[in-house]
Amino acid sequence: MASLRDIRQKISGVSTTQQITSAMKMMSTARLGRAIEAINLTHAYITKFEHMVQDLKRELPYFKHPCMVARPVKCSCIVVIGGERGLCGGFNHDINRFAQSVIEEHTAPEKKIVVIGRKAIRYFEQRGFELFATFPDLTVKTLDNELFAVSRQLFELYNDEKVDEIHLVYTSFASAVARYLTSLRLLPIDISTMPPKPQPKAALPFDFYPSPLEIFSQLMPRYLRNLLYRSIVESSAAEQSARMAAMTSATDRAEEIIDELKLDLNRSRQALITREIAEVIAGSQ
Amino acid sequence: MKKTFSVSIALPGKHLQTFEARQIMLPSKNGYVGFMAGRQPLLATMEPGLISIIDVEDHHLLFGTTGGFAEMLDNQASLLCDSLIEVKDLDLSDSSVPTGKIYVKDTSNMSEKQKRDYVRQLMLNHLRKRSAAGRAGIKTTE
Repeated sequence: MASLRDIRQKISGVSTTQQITSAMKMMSTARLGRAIEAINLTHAYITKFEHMVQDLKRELPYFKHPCMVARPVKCSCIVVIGGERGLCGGFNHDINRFAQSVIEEHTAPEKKIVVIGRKAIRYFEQRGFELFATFPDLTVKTLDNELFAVSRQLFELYNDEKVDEIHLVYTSFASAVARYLTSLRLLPIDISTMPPKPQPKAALPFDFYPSPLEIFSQLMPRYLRNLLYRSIVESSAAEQSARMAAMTSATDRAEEIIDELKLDLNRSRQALITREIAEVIAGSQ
Repeated sequence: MKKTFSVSIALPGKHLQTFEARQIMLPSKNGYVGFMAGRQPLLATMEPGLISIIDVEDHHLLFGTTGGFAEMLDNQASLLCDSLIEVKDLDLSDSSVPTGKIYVKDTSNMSEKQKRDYVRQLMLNHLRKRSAAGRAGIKTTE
């Protein structure tokens, strides 16, 4: 049986770990709250964007922009949004495995893989994937500065016909306990998948300043940027919710271990007392 | 016919701002475009410049934007801005910003920071001119 000192040391060690996991749980809860707020705010903005695209399409049904027309796929670009850090249960493992399966299932002769997030970059580098571009520091905090450059790069790749389609793989956030692995096509865009907009009351034709083509050419990089923004924010929220769940179970498990160790400690202490009493009685007889 | 219309200003990751307005003026590609209630549907791009709104109480609201899109449909104007500079974000006593006329610049090759600085300068100039002319101040948003 372990000595009382050993057990006390173990209790102290587990208790310290419990404090850390409990603090991490609180931090991820706060970050999750902020991420959920950002998702809600972005949702309103993207919905307005989608309404604009739909109005443009309804007004000019025969209007075709390169971003709307599917072309034969010679090169496919897959953007993977992975995790930033560890200690979040199966979050990183799930998204990395899913992204790998999506990449392997693509039948395009050439693939360009763009990875966002340190954990995902390390995963794909370790498995020998050739990465076209990596963005390890593109976190929710640095989004404003870098995201426009990233989305412009992606749009130019598509516009210059260096890639024929762009797919996005990320973890979408449904609630604090539900997240889904999602793969969607960013470009060419499919207007039929957008949430429908009610028909406008006005029957008058639209005025366009400048031409519809120019409006659409300016609209698309921004739409791409906002979809990327939403996906990164959702992925971050899903990571925080996974971390919160992992830290909750770690804290609970630490509590159980401490209870078990305390039981052991009491048992050992009682055994020691009993032995000492027995020795005293034996000595007195 | 209703003489006012609703204006909503949306920014990525920010709260939606909504006003009831009489008139609005936006920086479009071919210069400033103004419109009132009951306008024919419109879809326009916005260039870096000033957004000027006259609300139902005849207060003047001023914003700066580095670009975006504007849509007017069914007496509702939706402005999707890349970024928004408000009067309360400006330091009116900032002497580093030169006064005088700002000639129209080609903003297409400007970085986001340069666009912001340009718009900030436009706003400060506009506010100084208003102040010098003794006109009423700009209403700031909460």
